[in-house]
Amino acid sequence: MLAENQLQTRLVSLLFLLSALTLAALGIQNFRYGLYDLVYAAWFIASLFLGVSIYARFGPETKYLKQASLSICFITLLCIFLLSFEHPQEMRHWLFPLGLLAYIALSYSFANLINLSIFFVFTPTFLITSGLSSALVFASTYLIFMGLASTYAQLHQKRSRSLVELEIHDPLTRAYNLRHLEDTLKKEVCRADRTGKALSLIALEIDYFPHLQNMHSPPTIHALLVRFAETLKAMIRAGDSDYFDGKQTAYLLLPCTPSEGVLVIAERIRRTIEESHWPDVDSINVSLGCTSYAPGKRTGSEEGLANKLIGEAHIALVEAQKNGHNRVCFHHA
Amino acid sequence: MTLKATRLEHHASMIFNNEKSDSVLPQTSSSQTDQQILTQTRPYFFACALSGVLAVYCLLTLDLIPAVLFAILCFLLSINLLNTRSNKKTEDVVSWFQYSSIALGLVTLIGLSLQPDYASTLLYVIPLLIFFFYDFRPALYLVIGFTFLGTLELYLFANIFESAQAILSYFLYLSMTCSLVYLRELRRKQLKPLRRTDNLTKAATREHLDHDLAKEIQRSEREGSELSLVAMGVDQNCLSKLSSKEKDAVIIHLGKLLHNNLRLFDSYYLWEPYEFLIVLPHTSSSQAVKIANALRVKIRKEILAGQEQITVSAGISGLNIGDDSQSIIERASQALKETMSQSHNRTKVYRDSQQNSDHSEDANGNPEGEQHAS
Repeated sequence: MLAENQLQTRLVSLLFLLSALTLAALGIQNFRYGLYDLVYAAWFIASLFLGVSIYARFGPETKYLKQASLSICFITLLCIFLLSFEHPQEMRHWLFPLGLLAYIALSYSFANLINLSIFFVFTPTFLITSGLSSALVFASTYLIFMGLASTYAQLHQKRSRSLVELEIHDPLTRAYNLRHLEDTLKKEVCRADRTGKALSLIALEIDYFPHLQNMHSPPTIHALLVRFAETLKAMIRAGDSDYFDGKQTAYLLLPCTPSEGVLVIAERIRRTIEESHWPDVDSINVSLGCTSYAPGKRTGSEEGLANKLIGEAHIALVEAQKNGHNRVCFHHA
Repeated sequence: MTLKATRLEHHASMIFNNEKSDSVLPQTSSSQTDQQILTQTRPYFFACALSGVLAVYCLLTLDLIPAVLFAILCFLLSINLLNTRSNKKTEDVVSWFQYSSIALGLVTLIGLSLQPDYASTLLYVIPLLIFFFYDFRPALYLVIGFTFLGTLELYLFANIFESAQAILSYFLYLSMTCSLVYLRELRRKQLKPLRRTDNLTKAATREHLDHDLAKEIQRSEREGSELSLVAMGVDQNCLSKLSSKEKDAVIIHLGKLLHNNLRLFDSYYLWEPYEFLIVLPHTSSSQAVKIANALRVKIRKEILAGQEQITVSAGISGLNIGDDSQSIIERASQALKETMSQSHNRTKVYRDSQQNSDHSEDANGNPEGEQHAS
């Protein structure tokens, strides 16, 4: 399974390549018909498209891809505009693929910009060159097309957003993510009130993690994090749950565990991590910050309490790191 | 099925929207259907108007064929527009959209053979339109057929310079349409397992039940706490009196009532079409009877369909040692079935068959509920 943006750039690269090939073929065809100005334009645009395609596929970093696509789209638009005085009937066919390409390769607002400019530039152009009826035909069909394509793009954007909102797992470690921690913590607080049993939260970080990141390559760090999350998951009991914030902090939520219990568990985790052997980095240590919630003295909403607990765990974690790392610290109010 | 879902979604969002947003349950309801989004875009409206202008213009210049073509086009577009504005059933509207996009395709094909100058750009609209309104597979066949006929006609009727540009750019355009559709299908596939709650009732979906319940059972074994399961179904004699639309409204209201009245850590699932399963952790079966009765009375008081009062029955089972998620669900639904077969508006706890007769009276807890209700 490809990562999301990787898939996106592959797709864009493929489409630019296809466009380049089509334009080259168009160039050959037009050469046979003797439309030489169209040939030059087609080959010129094809070479530009090919360049973008190669950049998207093989470029080391593709952070300028959007800008490149945008500028190429405008250059193409300009070419088509210059040619459309001579060949209005032929050139209008080049516009539709370009409009659709914009919706796939560019962000929604830029794609709209491109398409609106196509609409407002070419309707008068066709009005001048080939009469009112032709301009009206173009305008009405292009508007339907634009409505459809923008709806597709809009729905896609909406789905992408809800994809992020609904995901409860961290993509790398498959532990739950931070948003799910907040939700679960609220439920657990409510539950602790009901059962009268204390609830504990541990925040833990690998010691000197930024240094490790500088020393090792990203794949090594990723493998380490995956292993780390697996180890944590293996050490917690049924009913406990593990979370990872996507950067460096992991959380363990332990319902039905009083403060003495959490200290025992935290100490066991610290020792296990210290004693086990890790690939590439050899050995790591962790610092742990613990906090507990004893029901009965509750003030405020579940949400406030959940945030407070996360904050407390963090304070304890920072304290553990200040006191020299590789240790457990409990938050005392 | 999906059409029905979108319609219900619309209902549900209207009911749930006035509630303050609640991040415990992910909010996934969309207030607009896809069709409404399309027809409410400004380009669509202008396209509609422009094609009308075009038809009139062609009529004035005595170009009869394009005049007729664009009159039909304008007619189809504006009918779609009117259809979504009026409060018709979504199924009807969608099937209208499907017919009209087919009709548009036919108009384009006829136009290509008669007046390729006018109709050749319309070619580009059809594939997107068909993929929008049809499911993936039928849309694919339709588009392939349309592409074949369209390019053939372009080749035969359009002038040679134009047809070369048109055919090649049409195929390029088609490949882009395919990638757009591919992205859409990919998103749908990715989103499907993530939707933990049903849009209309805010109930968690059935697929998650087994997994969640198994976790919950493990946990109650570890903590030594009790766990009860309530199966709650709308009574048959109420259901038979309702139209399908009223049934939908009832189920949405039920979902809302459960959402507001259960504790934060309780969870409920839409099990059968008109049955919910409610998981109550840290609750003995006698406490569960109380909760179920309170809900039952509340539902009887608050939920009306037309003039009809809605009553529900509930079956309860507590967690025994050695239970797994299947057996506890089975017992709860068994209890519900027995309750429903004997009477209605009752709560009943599951007992083993030999004890069943002894305990059925004290279990149903009905008199208390009735007093409350009257």
